Amino acid sequence: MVDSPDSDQQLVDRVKQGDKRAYDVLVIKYQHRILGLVGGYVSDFQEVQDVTQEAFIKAYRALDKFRGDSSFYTWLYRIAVNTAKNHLVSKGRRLPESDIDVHDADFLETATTLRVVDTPERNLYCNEIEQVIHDVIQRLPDELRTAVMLREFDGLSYEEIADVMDCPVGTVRSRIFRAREAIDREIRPLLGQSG
Amino acid sequence: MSEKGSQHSAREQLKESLSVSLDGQASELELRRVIDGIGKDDELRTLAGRYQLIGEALRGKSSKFVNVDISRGVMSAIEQEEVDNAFSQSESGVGGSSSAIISRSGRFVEDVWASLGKVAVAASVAFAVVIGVRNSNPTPELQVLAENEPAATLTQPVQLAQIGSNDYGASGIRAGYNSKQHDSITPEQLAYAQSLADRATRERFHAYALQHAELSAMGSGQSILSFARLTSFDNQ
Amino acid sequence: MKKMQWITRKLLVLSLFVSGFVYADTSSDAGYLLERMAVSSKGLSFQGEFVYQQGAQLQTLSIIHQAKNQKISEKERILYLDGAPREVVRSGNELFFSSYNEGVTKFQHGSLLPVINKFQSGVSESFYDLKIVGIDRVAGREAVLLLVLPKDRFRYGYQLWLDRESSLLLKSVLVDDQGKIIERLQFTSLSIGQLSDDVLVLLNRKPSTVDETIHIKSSSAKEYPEKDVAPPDWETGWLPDGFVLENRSIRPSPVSRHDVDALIFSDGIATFSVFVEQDDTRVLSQASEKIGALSAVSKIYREGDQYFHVTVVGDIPLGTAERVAVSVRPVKMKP
Repeated sequence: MVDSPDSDQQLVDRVKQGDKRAYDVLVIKYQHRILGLVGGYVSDFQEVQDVTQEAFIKAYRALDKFRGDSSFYTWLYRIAVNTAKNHLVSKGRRLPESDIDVHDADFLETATTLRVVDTPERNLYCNEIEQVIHDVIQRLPDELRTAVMLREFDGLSYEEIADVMDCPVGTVRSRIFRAREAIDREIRPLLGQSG
Repeated sequence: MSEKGSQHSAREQLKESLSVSLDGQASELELRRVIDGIGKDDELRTLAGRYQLIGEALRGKSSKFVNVDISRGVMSAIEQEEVDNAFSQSESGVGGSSSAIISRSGRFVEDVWASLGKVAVAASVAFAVVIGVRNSNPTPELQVLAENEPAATLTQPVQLAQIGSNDYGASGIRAGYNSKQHDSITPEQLAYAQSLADRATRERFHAYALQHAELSAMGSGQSILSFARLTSFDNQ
Repeated sequence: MKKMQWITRKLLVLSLFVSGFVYADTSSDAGYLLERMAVSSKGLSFQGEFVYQQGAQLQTLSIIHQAKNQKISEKERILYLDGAPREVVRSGNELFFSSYNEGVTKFQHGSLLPVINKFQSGVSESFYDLKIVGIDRVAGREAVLLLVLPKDRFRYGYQLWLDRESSLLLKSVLVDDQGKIIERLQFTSLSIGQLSDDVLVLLNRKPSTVDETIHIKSSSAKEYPEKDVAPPDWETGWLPDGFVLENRSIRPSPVSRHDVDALIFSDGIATFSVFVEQDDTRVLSQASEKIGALSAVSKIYREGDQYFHVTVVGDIPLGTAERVAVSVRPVKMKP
């Protein structure tokens, strides 16, 4: 799901005004998606990270030229693809037959055709977290689960969710937040992070 | 758990604002607080990562890169690049015009500013820097700078620690400097430069408070409140 | 937001000392009193002493005000009676601020600024609830207590005691959205009417003779007439509702050798100024501070390789000031 252009526009504007920290938020928002995308071109785990970092830096430098014709993510996506391809060329490797479509890219991470050098531990980690998240979701009160799924899975705006659930927008906001908090409480220890 | 959220602490509210910001539904004020928070607060930062992760998992698109966080790498690379660019400009720049530049430096009512311009210029000709300023009451005496005070360059802090904030997220930021950014800066120089900037801000606010008092008094025909308020600067 | 407003109202009402019966006056009566207050403060001659309290700070001040008549123009002098000697003298389109420590600053406007009623009804009633609450006694005089309650969180609230006879301000209390009192101003003595001769002498004494060691350091700030001034390069992307640009001027900056663009906004009750200037010091800092009743925010913008300072100062909440400061942008850079 690509976020609505509006949310990124605010952040992009702030970056253009000189607030670098707003770009930090954009990186945090999209790094995993771009990592997954680059992973479709580059196989080495560390290399994927390096190339992704380079892509974000290139995007930052080019931000002056971003006019808002497309969504920020789409624009960033194109830069990442070019960066990955240039990287392959510079390493003397073969380019893939065709570019990965932006809509397909999001499914790449779980595609089995990828040969990624990965420790089993990482795979397990990844699955276990997913498992826990789905468990917690199932155990949530109905209204919290519905709210967060409508947002994350269906991509509805808060207004739309408020319509569907027949409640105020403030309630939608609060329900989504509480659902996330409930899940976060469970996955935080798994990731070894404190909150 | 009350749905009204009236029991929420400021922390909870910030977390909720983060949740809302990632959905693109935040007000400008909220977004600003979140951006502020992410820059300063590691825990908020990692929370943002986890919220993203939750979303991606719910969409059935979890990532092998779950534990990877390249954001810091990106941000420090960006900053380093700007520092490098600026210094390479100044080195290739016109050394002989330094006296001309000094004479163009900004002047201020107090003596401090006259020297301030020179100090900053001596540090770097082409490079201007932003730092965070401590929100405290520094000592009231102003030192007049000697000509041979060490030059100081300030670079944008990589890590900011938060001291004291109110619910608006407005706080004084204590700048934490990454001294790896430029080898020739000593901690003493950085501390010195920061205290200069603190004073600069204090003087700025004092000067503009007077301007504001004058504007509002002349405009409204009532001076009493406008000028009484200037006394709040007395203990600064 | 609604909850915070309720706290403010409750605390304001509870903290009153009310003697006599409570007026159930309409908002328009309150508005009328405010207008009368503005008129009186210009049109009456008076002198008095007042105290200003903010935090741990307590300051005594005195004021002498000469209303305009056929012989003399309007003139006013405010003296700070504690600490370092300071005073303000306002006369026609000039204002002098003299400080023992910092010298004399003279402000001179090309023409008289349009008078914004500091407490102006009409516009304000959309953003504040005005309420007359009762009669109280201040500085030995009967006073009408008026509440000015903000309708949103972008501004502060006031309790105002206006002299029953003249509607002059006798006492003012500023309250934030948590119901906390930020500042108090109160007259301890006030006499209204034609100024006696020795008071007139005090009024007319030139600032530089208050203390021989005061040197005039700053030069006058001149206001450029509108027609000579290019349209601003800057605009505020966001303003709280009800705030209008009251005046714009270009003046020498008090902190650099550049000129600074000065804009002042008001909603009839609160005011804030926005100052934009180019930087040439190469040392830039950003900060937000609450300094008593004033919020002060300093932000920096870069356009190409030029840096600009934006400073916002006013009697508004810090969040509002920050939001305004952050929204300042070059006019050509519209999103």
